[in-house]
Amino acid sequence: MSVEENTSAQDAGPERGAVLPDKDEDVGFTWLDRAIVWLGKKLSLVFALIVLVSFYEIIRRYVFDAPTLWVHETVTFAGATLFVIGGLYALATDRHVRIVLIYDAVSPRVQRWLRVVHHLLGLAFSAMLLFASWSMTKAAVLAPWGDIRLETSGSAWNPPFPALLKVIILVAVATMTLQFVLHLIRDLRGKGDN
Amino acid sequence: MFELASMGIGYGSLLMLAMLIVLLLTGMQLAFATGLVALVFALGWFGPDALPIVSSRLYSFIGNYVFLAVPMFVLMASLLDHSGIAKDLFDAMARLGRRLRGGVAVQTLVVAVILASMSGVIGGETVLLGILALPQMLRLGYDRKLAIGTTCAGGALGTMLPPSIVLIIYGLTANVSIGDLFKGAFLPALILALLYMVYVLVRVWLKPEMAPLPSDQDAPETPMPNFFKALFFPLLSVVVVLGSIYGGVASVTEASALGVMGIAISTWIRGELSLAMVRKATISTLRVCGMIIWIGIGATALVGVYNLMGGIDFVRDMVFAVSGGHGLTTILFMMLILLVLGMFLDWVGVALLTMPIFVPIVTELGYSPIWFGVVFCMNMQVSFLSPPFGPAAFYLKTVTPKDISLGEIFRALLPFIALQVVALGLLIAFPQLALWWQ
Repeated sequence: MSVEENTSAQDAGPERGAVLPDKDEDVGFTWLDRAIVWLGKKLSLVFALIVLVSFYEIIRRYVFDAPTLWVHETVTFAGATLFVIGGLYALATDRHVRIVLIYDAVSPRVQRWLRVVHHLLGLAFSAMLLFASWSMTKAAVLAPWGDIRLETSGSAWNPPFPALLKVIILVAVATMTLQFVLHLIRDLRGKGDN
Repeated sequence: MFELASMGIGYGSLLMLAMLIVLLLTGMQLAFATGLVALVFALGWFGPDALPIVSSRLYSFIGNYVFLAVPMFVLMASLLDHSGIAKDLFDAMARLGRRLRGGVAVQTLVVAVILASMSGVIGGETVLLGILALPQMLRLGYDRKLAIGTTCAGGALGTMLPPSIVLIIYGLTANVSIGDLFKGAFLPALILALLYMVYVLVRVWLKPEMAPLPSDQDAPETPMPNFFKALFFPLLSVVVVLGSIYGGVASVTEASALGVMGIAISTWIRGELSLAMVRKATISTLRVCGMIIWIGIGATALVGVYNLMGGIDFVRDMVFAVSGGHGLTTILFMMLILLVLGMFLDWVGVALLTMPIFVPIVTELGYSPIWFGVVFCMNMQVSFLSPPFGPAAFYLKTVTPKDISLGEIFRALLPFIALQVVALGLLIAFPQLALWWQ
């Protein structure tokens, strides 16, 4: 399966229209999903800001020969943040790529139980990742003696983006864990049958 | 913890592969399945202290400046999809071959090549051609399979011609210059497109009824729209993007930002730019990147853990044992693995899972990693079209008339897959095709 636009085969039906009949029908399954979709739609405009800021830097560098200190690190940080959120967004709207060869062939009942398995495994994934991110983030935010000391990039500008990004990763992975829990509850209650 | 390490790398690799296959077959998300296997092995092989390997790989993966070129090129393609540029391009090219048998198919391929040089993804392009070109060919009475195949194979060219997200991901994984990859892919991509065109022309020459000429009343002489105004700036932005990369003036990320600005300004000149349009484009960028990047995170974590387990050396030894260290055999063996994986896994997963293992072997055998990147990209062209999951076919299906089934699309694609294999063979036989500029 591929990746661009939406690809999980279940929404590759004839009603999809990536281009002309524009349907931004991303809604999400649970309240948390809906919140993520709402936030994601707002934050996605940051991509446009990244373009503008990068353009500004290009003009400064190539036209005025006066490159900025802050643009590269800022856009990289902003992009990385959006990448993380994009993962939550794709989970909220079920757009992560999956092989649906067997899934599509079984009855809705079996599908529901398969989804329960996915949620449980996803939960195992995100819980372990949460533990891993916790120790990574702790080291980036706290000094060994317990004071707050943010890890910085070490460049001439030296912003605390590494620490911030790690905090964002931690929060995102925690959110993802909660997403899996809510999806699990939803399918166990049997609300997930379409 | 589970003392997985005691089983040895051979059985460890086998267990890893088996777990991955089972998880994927249940329909679990590729991104989470690979990530889960990575975490389980980090925990089971090395213990809980090893888990942060995965989170730090996540961190370094997403915090890479070069990677920013991916959302930029996706955004550029997305803006393009939401504008009328492709339609004007298609209409402008309509004059190209009105008297030529099979002219509309050739026109479609020419448009596909131009669109591909503005876009690094395949989804939007395939859909656009499915809306613009396919109905026209069907209306003129073109052979259905020829029309479908041309449209779909043409749309898939998006990632073969620079800019290409496939080449960016390969460049990041294999640690080679993306600009060089773009230079290397250019000629092979054109050769592939030319093969398609020659194939179409030969087919309709042998069997003229496959492509009826348009009758005169079929072409209402509407006044020519101002194509110069409509198309000059989009094409100029392509020249600027590719020119600045080829010329080594700007980095790929900078060039990609320039490309977005170029297309945005073009749509503004065309009177199409609006906040709503930008929003739609950025939302679909977020969606696409969320998927691509998390597949990347899972795959890079898995390869990272596997490498620590000593797996990469293990595979390397195995590959040499199978191929006897013979260069061409090794490459062909890798192609086979790529083609099989490409049938089932997404290309991002294939790239990030196999390239950290393959590229060092390829370089050790004395091949150019740039050439191999182009070969990989050509392989992924095949995977876009090949059943059962060829994504280009799924994209086309979303906009085709109901009576065209997915099966018919895949059958229509078979000759084009054969042509891709021919192009792949040419590329392997004559590496100079990708390296002549050096």
